Amino acid sequence: MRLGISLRKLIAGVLPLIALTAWAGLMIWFYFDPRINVLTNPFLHRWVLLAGIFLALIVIFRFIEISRNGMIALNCGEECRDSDELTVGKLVVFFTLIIPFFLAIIVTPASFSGQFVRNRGVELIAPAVITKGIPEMTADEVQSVLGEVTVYDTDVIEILMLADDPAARSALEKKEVSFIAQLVYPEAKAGISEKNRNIFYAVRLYMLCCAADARPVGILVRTPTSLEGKEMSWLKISGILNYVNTNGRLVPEVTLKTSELIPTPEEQYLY
Amino acid sequence: MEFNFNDFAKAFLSILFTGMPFLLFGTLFAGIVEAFVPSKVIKSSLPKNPVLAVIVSGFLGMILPMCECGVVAVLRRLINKGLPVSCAVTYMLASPIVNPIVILSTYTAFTNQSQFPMTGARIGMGYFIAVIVGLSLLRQPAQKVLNQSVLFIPRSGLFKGGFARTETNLEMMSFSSKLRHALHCASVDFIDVAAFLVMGAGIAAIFNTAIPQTSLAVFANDPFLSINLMIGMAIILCLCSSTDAFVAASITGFPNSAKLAMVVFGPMFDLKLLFLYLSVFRPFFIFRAVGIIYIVTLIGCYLLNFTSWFQ
Repeated sequence: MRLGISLRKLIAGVLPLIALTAWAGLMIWFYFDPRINVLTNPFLHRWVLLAGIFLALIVIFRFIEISRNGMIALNCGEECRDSDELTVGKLVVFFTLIIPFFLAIIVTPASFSGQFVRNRGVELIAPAVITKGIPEMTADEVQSVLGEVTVYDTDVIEILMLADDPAARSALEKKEVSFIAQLVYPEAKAGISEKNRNIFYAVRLYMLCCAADARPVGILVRTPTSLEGKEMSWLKISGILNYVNTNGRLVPEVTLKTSELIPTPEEQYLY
Repeated sequence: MEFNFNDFAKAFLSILFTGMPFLLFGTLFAGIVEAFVPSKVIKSSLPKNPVLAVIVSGFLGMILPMCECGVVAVLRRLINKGLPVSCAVTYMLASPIVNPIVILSTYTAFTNQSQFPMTGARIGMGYFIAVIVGLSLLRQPAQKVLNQSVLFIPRSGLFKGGFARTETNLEMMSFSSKLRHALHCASVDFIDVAAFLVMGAGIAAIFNTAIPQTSLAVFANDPFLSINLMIGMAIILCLCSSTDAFVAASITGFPNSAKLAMVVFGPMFDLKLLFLYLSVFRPFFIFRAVGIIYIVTLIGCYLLNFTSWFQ
């Protein structure tokens, strides 16, 4: 009976250490696993690593204490004798800390679904917060580049930004452009309506802090025939660029010439 | 509303990985406060007059900047150290807004969108609400506001705080003992609060991914509805106060008054914070405090909507 009580006390004392060890390990692993660390803005990666290291140090410190002082270090002895016991509440807290975190890490996919993008709403104008990708060329420079190439290799953000630059916009309009983006249909493909059959959104997700705040920006692409691609797959898209007046704003649209499936790029998100 | 488990998992993990470092640093800071700062220093650092003390506490974030995740752990220890609950709550609510990092990020985010009035209004309103809530606690006994676990921290949670030291004991401890005590307190607090963060992140991720935000845009033209809508978005999205201004600024079609509501209300209350608050406060107090925050935010933002800067 005494042994049973001691064992329960031991488990009650060890559970938090197991939780802390698991979390320390996950946070350090996060830094090195691109499948997981893509979930936050790169500026946070080092903070997560640092937090993981601190947690690991705390665990080491606790283990040293236990090795020196035995059960006294695990439990709080006479000062709070009833809280040494293994209770249902402590088990619930332990499993709350461990199970959802591990389960989510195991099942988390490489990309959000098309439904997520539709729920957020695709922004067809340049978001004010993105500074990366602002074209540094003047209209003349754009024109001179276009004189040398048949297809202007660009990106979603630059196309969106040029909508607000009359000179550069006129230089690019009706020209062939190519860029990479993810494929999202305006409606779920299973029940897509007639009017949306020959269009899709070429989408990039941009995040500020973490994937939970990711917002889709994109370009409407018109296709001659219904496209049969898997949603959120990565495409290299080539087509003719137009700027169309939509609710008083010039919004880019691309008429598709070719699309090619490509591997997931290193930078899945815009920051 | 369509739930997708994979989207949920991604959003859930991203909220956890973003919040955890700040929670840990908050608990480490709280541990250091607990072990190294005597109660008398904390008590003497504020004016004797309770009203003045609350007013000053609203500015503590300028010296001790904390985000909304980390500040909850700090609050527990500050209260344990003898800081009046009214002052601690004022600090907790004001610190995620009235701090230099958030002021700078707000000013940057609202470039070309009335950046100076927006930044000023955010800080002013955040401070004002925190002080109002703090003052409302002046006559409240701590037992009516705080959880039993906070009234006696060493008995709380999964990880038992074995060092139920008295202040006299603390002053006699060596540096290494204090350091051990600080680390022990940090681990106790981390486990206690992290469990609530996990629950909050889970609930937030469900709403974050399943609710079609596009359908909400139809309310953007009505100031009253749009302010309420953005408050609702703040509750669901659970954004960090240092970056929420960028998200608010990027939402098109909504008046600045509604965006202001999002960045004032969000750092004080959202789904993730609800669970963190439950680790410290009694539900009735949370309900009352959220009511005050909501009403003042709504009235303030609605009135500001009549000025050209916030339309």
